[in-house]
Amino acid sequence: MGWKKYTGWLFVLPGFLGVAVFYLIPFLDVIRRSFTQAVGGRFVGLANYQMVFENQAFLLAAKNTLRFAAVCLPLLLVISLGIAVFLQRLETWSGFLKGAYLVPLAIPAASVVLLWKLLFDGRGILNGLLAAAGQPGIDWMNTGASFGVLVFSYIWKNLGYDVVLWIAGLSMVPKQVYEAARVDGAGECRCFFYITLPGIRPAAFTIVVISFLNSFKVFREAYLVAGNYPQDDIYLLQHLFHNWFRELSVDKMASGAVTMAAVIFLLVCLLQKSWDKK
Amino acid sequence: MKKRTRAAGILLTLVLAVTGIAGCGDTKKDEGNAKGAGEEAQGTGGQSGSEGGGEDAFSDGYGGKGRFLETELTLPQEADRVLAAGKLSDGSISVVGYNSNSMQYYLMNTKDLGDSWDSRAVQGMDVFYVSSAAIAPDGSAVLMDPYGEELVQVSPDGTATAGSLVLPGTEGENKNQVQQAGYTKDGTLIVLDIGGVLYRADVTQGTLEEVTKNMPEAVYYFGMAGNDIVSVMGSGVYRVDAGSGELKKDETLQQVTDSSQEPISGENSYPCLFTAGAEEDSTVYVNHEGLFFHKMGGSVNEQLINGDLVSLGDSSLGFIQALTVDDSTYLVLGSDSLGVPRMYRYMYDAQASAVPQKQLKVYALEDSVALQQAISYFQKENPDVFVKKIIGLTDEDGITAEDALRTLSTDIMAGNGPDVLILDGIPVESYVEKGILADIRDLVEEVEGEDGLFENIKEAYIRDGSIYEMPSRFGFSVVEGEAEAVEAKNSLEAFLEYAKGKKSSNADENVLVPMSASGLLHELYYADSAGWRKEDGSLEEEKLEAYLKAAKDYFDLDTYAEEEYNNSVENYTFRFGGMGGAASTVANFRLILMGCGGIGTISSFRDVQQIYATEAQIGGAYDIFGEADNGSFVPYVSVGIAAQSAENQEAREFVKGLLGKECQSASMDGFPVNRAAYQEHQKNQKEYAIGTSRLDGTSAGVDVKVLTEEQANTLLKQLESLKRPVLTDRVIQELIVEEGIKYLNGDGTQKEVADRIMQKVKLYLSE
Repeated sequence: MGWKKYTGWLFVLPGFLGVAVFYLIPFLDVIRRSFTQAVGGRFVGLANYQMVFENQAFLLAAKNTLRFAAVCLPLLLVISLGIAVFLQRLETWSGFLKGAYLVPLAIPAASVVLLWKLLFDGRGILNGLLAAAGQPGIDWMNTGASFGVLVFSYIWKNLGYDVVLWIAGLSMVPKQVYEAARVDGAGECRCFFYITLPGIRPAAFTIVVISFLNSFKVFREAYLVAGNYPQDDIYLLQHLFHNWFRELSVDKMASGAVTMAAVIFLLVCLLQKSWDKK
Repeated sequence: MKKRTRAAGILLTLVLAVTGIAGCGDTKKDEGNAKGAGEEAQGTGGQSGSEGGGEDAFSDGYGGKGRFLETELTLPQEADRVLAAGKLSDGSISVVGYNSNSMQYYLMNTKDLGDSWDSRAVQGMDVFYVSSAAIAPDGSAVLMDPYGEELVQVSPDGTATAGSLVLPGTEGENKNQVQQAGYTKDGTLIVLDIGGVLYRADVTQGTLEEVTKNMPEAVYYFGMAGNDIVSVMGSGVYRVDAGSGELKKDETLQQVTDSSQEPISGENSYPCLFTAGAEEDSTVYVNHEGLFFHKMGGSVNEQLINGDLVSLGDSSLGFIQALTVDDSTYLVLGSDSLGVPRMYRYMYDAQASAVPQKQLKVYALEDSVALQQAISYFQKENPDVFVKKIIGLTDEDGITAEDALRTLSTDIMAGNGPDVLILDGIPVESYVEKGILADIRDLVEEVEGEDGLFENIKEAYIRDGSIYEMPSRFGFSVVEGEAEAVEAKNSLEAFLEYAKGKKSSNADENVLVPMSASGLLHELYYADSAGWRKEDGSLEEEKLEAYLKAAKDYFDLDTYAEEEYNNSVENYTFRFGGMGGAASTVANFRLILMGCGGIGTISSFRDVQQIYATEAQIGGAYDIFGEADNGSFVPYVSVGIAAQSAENQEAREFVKGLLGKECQSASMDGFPVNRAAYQEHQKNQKEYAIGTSRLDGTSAGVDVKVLTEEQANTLLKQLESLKRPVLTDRVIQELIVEEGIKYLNGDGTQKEVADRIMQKVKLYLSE
């Protein structure tokens, strides 16, 4: 009988062990290294953090990363939710469309990058269209427009995934509630704001966190399209870590990573707290 | 039911645990067996003793005994070129040598495996160019010109008797030629013509008889294994009976193709040599991977000597002849990159450890002949240390420099980093800042005390009283061309000003030699980049803009036909693969009347000789690019030692060897920083002729002479005047060249491209 109360723990244990061995324990080492010299391991206190906070590249990359998340997340969440609601209502074609939205996830990054290059090159398809329309071309990857390209890339890639998550969340809202509301004379808007949104709130937390974490993965495309040193606006924290690793700047990498983890943790906690309040 | 399920679960868990443990146990057992087998193989004698003495064997770490050790033999001083070697029926060894000063051929014989030699000048022979030679088992030799028309048979006492051979196809303009000659064990002379046909030759009668009509295809070259001819063809390696012409098929031997099918690497030297093994019906072959034994009909080619552990691994070594003395002694004759003859003896030592006890890890982003020579030199001096060469960028895996550097970072952080680093392309600033590199100033000064170093080069690398990196070789940028071009050497602006002035006076004339976008950007970068960095580490934007403007002006100035561009100067700079300086290529273009001048790097005496030879013929000069007494140099094969090197003493020895006279004398890739080696380079200059053809089909050529004392003094003063290294930061260079190529091809304005580069460079520097 006494075993029963530990059954849940036993189920969690294998996964937790994996996470511990591959993430938590290495991360503890990263925390340790953030207080030591890159080579030699001499304790340097907060010097690495000071170095990172004074590093112009880090400040730029952190600003860009936060800006990217701040712009992309609301856009992605709103668009994907809109599409999910629309698809749920759709009688026919909904299955096909759900699949179609997931296609970008299945396309290898290298192929996507090739497409991006064809589209956004100085002599690419978009500039060709602009020229045909009598408009001057845009240097997409070497001006502020590059940020737009990156936002578009992220939304295009993750839209289908979020749509599927939203649909899963929407399916948890009982249909009878909608029927009762309609009988009472509620319109579409009222149903959406007073039934749908409160109904998907538990799922929304997960979707926001997943989308936020996915926003860090956009680096792969950015790196393959624009290299180690892209236009300033799309220089992200991952570019910086990538380059620091080449230079063996483990001290900076460790303190930067700990800072980044702390910020993410803080944001997720704040998000959860605000969710709980509601 | 519940109990049964729980019991089944426990049982399953136990089974998994037990099989897991048993699996571990089996692995251990296998390791033990492997070791046992290895040790057993050691005991079978010489031919198995050092098998697999490479990386894997090293990492196994077992302590078996027995290995072939290398000794470099001293050949008689008379010979500065060797043509052939042979084992005589009395067991002694003979070598045909040539002295280029006295134009005398020699027969040199040793009865004690190369410890002492008896040299006899060939008497009664008219002077003619000998392209092929062979030594018969009775000690006589045959020497012949390329057509077989002039030929002498030399008796063992050195007396020459004239003869000749009449090759098929001797009529007409494209006369048939002798490509190679060799003797069978029973004394039959075998000749290979350039058509790839093997003949039995009778020198006294002057006749040839085709060995067999059944050869599947043309023979590239051959080796003699007793009375069999080991023939290398496109489809593989075959043994052919020299008497009957019977083709003996052996699938394993046939597959020895990777290295043996490459084109012949130089005069009288081959990428792979074949000879008879000590056993009946066996073949021994030698290439840069080592020395291998094959029993006819056997399924393996057994490695007796690992090329990485001896001089055979030196890729600049050309092989001339391999000889089997017995199953524990082999001789290999070759010539190094300077054409100096080298002869190595490999004797099995049953007491030597099967694999070296220590391992020294040497890392380089890119491989180079200079590095391989240093490794071979060190390996020869330290047979008990295995040098593991780690190359970051190889042709096989296709990874980028960035990936390679990240892998290196991982290794260093994991404590598996190299002991010695070749720092070309590696972020040295960052490594020094983090304490990864050790101070090697005492070591550098030790070499300086012994041989002397170019002090100006050494001084450029002293930081706060320490030296963390030291180039072993270097080159510098020059302006080469007509007198007016050379006068405009002070800056890129001045040079382009001259070029544009010249163009305006004659629009139809091409002023500058053709260069590809990439080649041009690299060459101008080496010429100009030394002064780009400000004190705070950032780049001077105006200088970068001036560089881009000069590159664009240069690129757009002339109009060359496409086929001319196809031959344009493309990264001939020695920094990228040891091709020799671009300046001599500039001179070469001028020789075929393409342009009046250009900018390029000089990296060897050979370059300077060639430039002077061209100047003497068409009129012109060369001088260091830039302001007087402020020249810059391009470092090459810069070396450093890891501060945490486990094999610190060996690492120091390696670096000392790399900077030392012997190692630096052996390669023409870059001027040596070692003054004694520089003297050797000067002494070893060779006279030669170069020929080329113009696009209209006419030919041009120059006789390249040894530098006069005045010319040599000028060169020395130039080298001593070089003060600063060029900007060697790989990231910055790649960013500039990458954007520069787009700019030269019409993408963006000069300001836009400069801004783009500056934005990226600022980002890089701010990291």
